Amino acid sequence: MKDSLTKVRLLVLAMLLFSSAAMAQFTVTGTVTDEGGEPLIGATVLAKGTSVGTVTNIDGSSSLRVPDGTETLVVSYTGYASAEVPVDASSSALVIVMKEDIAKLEEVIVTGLASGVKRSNSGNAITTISADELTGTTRQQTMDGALYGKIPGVNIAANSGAPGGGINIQMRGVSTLGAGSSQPLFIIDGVYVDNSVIRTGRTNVNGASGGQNASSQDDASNRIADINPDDIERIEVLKGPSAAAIYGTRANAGVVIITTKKGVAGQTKVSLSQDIGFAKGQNFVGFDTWDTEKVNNYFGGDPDELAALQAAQSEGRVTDWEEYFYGETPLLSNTQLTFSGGNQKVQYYASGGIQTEDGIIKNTGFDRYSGRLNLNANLSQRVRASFNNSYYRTDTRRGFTGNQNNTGGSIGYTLAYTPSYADLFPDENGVYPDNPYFNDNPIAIRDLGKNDQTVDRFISAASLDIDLWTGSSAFLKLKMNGGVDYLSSNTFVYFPEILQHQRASANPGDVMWGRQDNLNTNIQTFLQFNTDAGDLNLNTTLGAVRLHQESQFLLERGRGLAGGQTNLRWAKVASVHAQQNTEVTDLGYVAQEDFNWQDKVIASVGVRFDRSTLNADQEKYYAFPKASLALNLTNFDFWNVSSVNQFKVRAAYGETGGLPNYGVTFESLSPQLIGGALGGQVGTRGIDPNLKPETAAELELGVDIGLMDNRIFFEATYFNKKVNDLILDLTPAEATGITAIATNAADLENRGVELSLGINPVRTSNINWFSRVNWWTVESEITRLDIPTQTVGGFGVSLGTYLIAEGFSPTTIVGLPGGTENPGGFTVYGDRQPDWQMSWYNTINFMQNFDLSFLFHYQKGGEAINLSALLWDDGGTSPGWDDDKDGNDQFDGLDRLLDWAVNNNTGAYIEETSYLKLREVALHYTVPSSVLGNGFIKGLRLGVSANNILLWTSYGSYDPEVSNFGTQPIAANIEVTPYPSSRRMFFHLKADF
Amino acid sequence: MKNILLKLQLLTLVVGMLMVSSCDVDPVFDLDNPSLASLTSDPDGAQLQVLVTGLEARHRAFYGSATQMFGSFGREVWAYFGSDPRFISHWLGVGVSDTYNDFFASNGTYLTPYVAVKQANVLIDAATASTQITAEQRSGYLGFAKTIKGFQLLWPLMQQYQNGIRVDVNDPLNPGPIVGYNEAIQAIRDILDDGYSDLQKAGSSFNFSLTSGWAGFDDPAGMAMVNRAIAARAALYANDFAAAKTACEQSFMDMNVDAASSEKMWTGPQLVYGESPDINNPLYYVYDQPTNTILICHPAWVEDALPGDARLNKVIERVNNVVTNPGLKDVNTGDLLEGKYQDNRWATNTSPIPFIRNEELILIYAEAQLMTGSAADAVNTINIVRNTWGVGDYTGGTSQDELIEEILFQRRYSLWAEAGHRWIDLRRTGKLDADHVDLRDGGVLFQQVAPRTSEINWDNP
Repeated sequence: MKDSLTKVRLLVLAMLLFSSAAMAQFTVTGTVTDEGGEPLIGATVLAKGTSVGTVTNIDGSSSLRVPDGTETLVVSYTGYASAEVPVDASSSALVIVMKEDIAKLEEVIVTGLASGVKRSNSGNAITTISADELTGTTRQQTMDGALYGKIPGVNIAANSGAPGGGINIQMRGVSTLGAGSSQPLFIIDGVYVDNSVIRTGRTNVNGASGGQNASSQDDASNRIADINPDDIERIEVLKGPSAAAIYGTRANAGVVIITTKKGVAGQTKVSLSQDIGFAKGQNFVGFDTWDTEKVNNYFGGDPDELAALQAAQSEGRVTDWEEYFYGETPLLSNTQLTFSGGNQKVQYYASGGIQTEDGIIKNTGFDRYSGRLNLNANLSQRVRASFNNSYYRTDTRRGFTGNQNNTGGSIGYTLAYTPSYADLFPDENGVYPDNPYFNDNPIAIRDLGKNDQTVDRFISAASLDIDLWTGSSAFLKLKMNGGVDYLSSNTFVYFPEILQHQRASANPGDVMWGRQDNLNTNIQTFLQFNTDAGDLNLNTTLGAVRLHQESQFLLERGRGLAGGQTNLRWAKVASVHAQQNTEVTDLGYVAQEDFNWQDKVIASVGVRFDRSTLNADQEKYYAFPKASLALNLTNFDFWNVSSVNQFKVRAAYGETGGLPNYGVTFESLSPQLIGGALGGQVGTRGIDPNLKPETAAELELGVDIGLMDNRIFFEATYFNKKVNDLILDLTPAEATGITAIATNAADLENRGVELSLGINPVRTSNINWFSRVNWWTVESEITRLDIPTQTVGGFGVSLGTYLIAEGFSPTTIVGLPGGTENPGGFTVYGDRQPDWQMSWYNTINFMQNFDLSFLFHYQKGGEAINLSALLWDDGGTSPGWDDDKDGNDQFDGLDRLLDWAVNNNTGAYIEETSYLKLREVALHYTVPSSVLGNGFIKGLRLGVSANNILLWTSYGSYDPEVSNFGTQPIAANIEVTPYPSSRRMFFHLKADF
Repeated sequence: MKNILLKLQLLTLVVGMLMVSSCDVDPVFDLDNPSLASLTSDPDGAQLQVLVTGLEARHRAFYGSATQMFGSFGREVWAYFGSDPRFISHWLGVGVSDTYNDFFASNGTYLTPYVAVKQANVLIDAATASTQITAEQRSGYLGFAKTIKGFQLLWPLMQQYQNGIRVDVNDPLNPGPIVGYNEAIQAIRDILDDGYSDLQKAGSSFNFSLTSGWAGFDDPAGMAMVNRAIAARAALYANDFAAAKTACEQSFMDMNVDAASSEKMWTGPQLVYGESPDINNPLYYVYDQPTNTILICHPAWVEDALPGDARLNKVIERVNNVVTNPGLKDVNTGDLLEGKYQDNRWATNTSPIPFIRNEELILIYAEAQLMTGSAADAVNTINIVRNTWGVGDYTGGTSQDELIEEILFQRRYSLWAEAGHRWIDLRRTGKLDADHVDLRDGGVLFQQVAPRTSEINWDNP
């Protein structure tokens, strides 16, 4: 009924339009709608074979004067299969119904730095994420967090549940063992953006040093968290070197290409969206209850403890500390206002957003303020320019969780040792009692400690496209783009002098002020020459790219603070804790040739030469070649299976690089003050003058099959990604005083399969159900190791660490007891990487205006080192600590602890991380335009959604996604009482004016 | 108009290409620190000073760890470091029956001293390569560097003991072999002797300055006395008692001490500390604070003391805040063992610590006298120590074994918590057993620490 109403309306509209058959032109009018009859605004209408075109207006209608002889109109709209409509001078009031491009075959995806290809012609499996998939259903805190389960072949895991991000993205297995960046390269509108993790010094203030990668226990997030997901139009993911070779020397871990939204010529569109919601702790462990029996069992009947228990009971302050600390219900709010529009000359998109989210621990949270102005201008017929500007400010308050040492500066760690009857509540004067069970009172830590970071960030991109020459079947273009990413970070970590553990230090009161400025600038210039040679289209691109990075980092510490003061001048002892200035320049040259023979055979070959000042030989160019081939069998004349509308086989090969970390090519001294004199200490790192960058070479083979008008679409991809010359620290005999020399010492191989099945099982006017199942697996193995077997990460072998040994995956978890059967003499307990992962994404549009979507994500296998459980067993807080389920006359908590301590069984605290999560679920209602009429509000959408709402796992802590050491190439999945993850629920309102 | 546009486009093209490609890429060096090469090619006095002071900084780094770990091994102290159960379960052998490769928190007496050795070797190479100093000045650098190098090499040897250690460690990719205890201690003594001979040729003053910790020892003659003090300790560890005796005599040993001048027992070169960016005295803890992170004196040390021993003032009882650790229980009763006594030797967190001092030399001298056949002289020497601390003359038997027991007893109190003497002393005299060590914590006594994985791997590629 509703459908036919709309049709009537459109018909009336169309009848008002006029068609002409005069002169050498004629005018075609019509309306473009989706399958539900809703008008599509901004669809492009082109007279085929000409450059004459227009876009549809707010009603989805348009009128176009086309040259005589025009026979076909080509209508295209992002996300829809392009339609070709026959026209002649008598055509009038066309109603063009666009079909959704479920398989995204029409989408143009990158093949080069200045060239693209329709997905149906691509030689690579490239996943794209649309704005709808990213932010259209629910609200994840950060852009990277919104990618969970959406990209086959990519494993994404949060480091903790702390507000403000902190996510480890691993594409197609292991890309580096730690020498280079394990995280993909992020490119936003052509700008290389910074995704670094900025040191805050929290690890020094709360003592969480110890273990390898000590400085990464700051629990800081990676800075892609600054980006506002709402500004993103599309994300393309180049998962492996075969696709990412165009990014050369920095692309071993993959590339994420982000395109922000643009204005569309036509009527001004104003859109306001408001999400409001709340979060709850997702999954509590349930600390053991304390009663007389438990006190007897754990404290051996210590009368002081019994008295403390009775006092707490009689005063009614026995507390479930998990509930108390992690049980807040914070408000989550996200407001976005956008304006877009423009004319044929200039289009603009402007947005402003405010996202404020508190955490499930008091005094923690994450706020983001963002603004954007994107301009596209047609400066002349032949010159187009764009200018994209954004500003972000993020405030992150992450509090104190995770590891600590000797300070009590971690809520979770302290709670492991703090029984429910501990007297921790401040008195009427606001004085926090000392915690007799640990170094500090966690309530005081929560209320008085500060761990804050503010980032201000500008990202600006500019591009210029010039048609230098256009011939009848050839053109020459110049494409330039570049941009700047500047971020300025201020961090503040503070423990006031009145804290229990501070009073125990010689100079009570500890503050750490940090400042970092990062500047990335990049520019690229390309010439593109395209020509038809008979049936063959040839596209040649040649260009040069340059990237420059600078950063200045300063961390200053003050100890012995005057009462309540945090300024460094009020510290008895103020000192520079760390200062680092870095500078990096990369330079590269690119040549690429793309061939397309009638959309039947599509091939591409290219090479990139790169140099970088991060290499030991700063002047040497390294070559990164690539080649791909796609055969669209369905486009050949011999193909006669009509139900199969796409059958493509594809193969791609490419090489990329991974640069050494800054500093490993230097042999420097470090300063140390001693008794008023300043000395230079020889470092413990040696250098290898022959150090080369790591290189990855990937072969990717696949097949894409579309059936029944693409209602069933299947993609299968096999890849073999070899990473050669991996840089590892050779550990010489430690007696030499040198503990590490970065050298090219290993090769590894990642083999995997990615399957994706999209089906559109129901497509009626009332119900349109789209469903996609992704399944992927990857296996990694070290195939060459020139240095002795070694362990990396963690807190030493007895607490679980990772094994680097030939024939083993680099993510193999090992521990005690020693054994002779394995390299290094350790016991193998598992692998951090899961056996496989699977996601199931559904969107169901029903009754025209309702959209239901949900995303399940399943991970099979994988292990983590759960040191929280060790602490809980040690402190007597683990659930059922004094049960005796195995009937061995010893408490279960003690069983595990002694198994670890006495039997040297590290495995006692290594657990499987299989999980099933309902990542996203959402129901939205679009108020039909018939209801809104022609009023002020032109579009209205309401919805409810939730993310991470359900979790099924046998893992014995808050969340199987965890990494005490932050973003790590290898040593993730080590848990020390992290910030618990939360489930989030939202109400959404979006209005267009 | 068209023409101008075209020209503009061409100009843009040219400029763009230039911007990208023809800009020079300047080589990047460490923007924050001097390179090692710049200090070692042909250094002048100022550059050598940087290495000398760096050596002082490296030299002091072992002390906290040696006192904590060796002290726990010999039950001088218990490390109530609540954040990691292994300070108890592994260091005391409560949870493990023996040490293992890369033993928990054992780097402080292995890698740390070797890093100091590396620094000393760099200084030796740099001073040798320098054309900007005189031969006499060079001898000063070499004498100082070798003295520290010999001292530092003792620490990994004390940790590894019969496993042996590497002594030739100058080339990171081509180190010498691991040599047994006897060969290693001899090599260390040779290095010290070599340094001593350099110091003889170093004139009357150094071409570099040392921190206040070296007051009285900061010229070649003073440094030579420090060198001999270290040589005396090394000779003792080599059971070369005649040499120990001689070295003591050549050192700054001063036997003219009594109760009124007991501070002379503390004479010796010191490790100095300061506020950040300097580092704090690693043994200092604020008195009687509620904390579960503190080094505690083993109760047996207080219980076994002779009445009136002034050395008991080295510790102070915690009145309000007795400390416990869930892993530290009385093996007989199962009750938590209470930490009652904390270190009382350091006034502030910047108090200096002597790393070898007169009292040790006197006790080395006593032992050397005894073992070279002069029991009566040994008793006299022992009595200097006893009378200084108010416990009266020695009245026990004078057999060698009885006097060794007495010397060990005096060393236990005189050298308490000074980088692990008790453990080392009992081991070298074959008395590291339950008769000499209170094992109420239920742990075991380790003879030595298992070798480092890196060393095993290097020899077994």
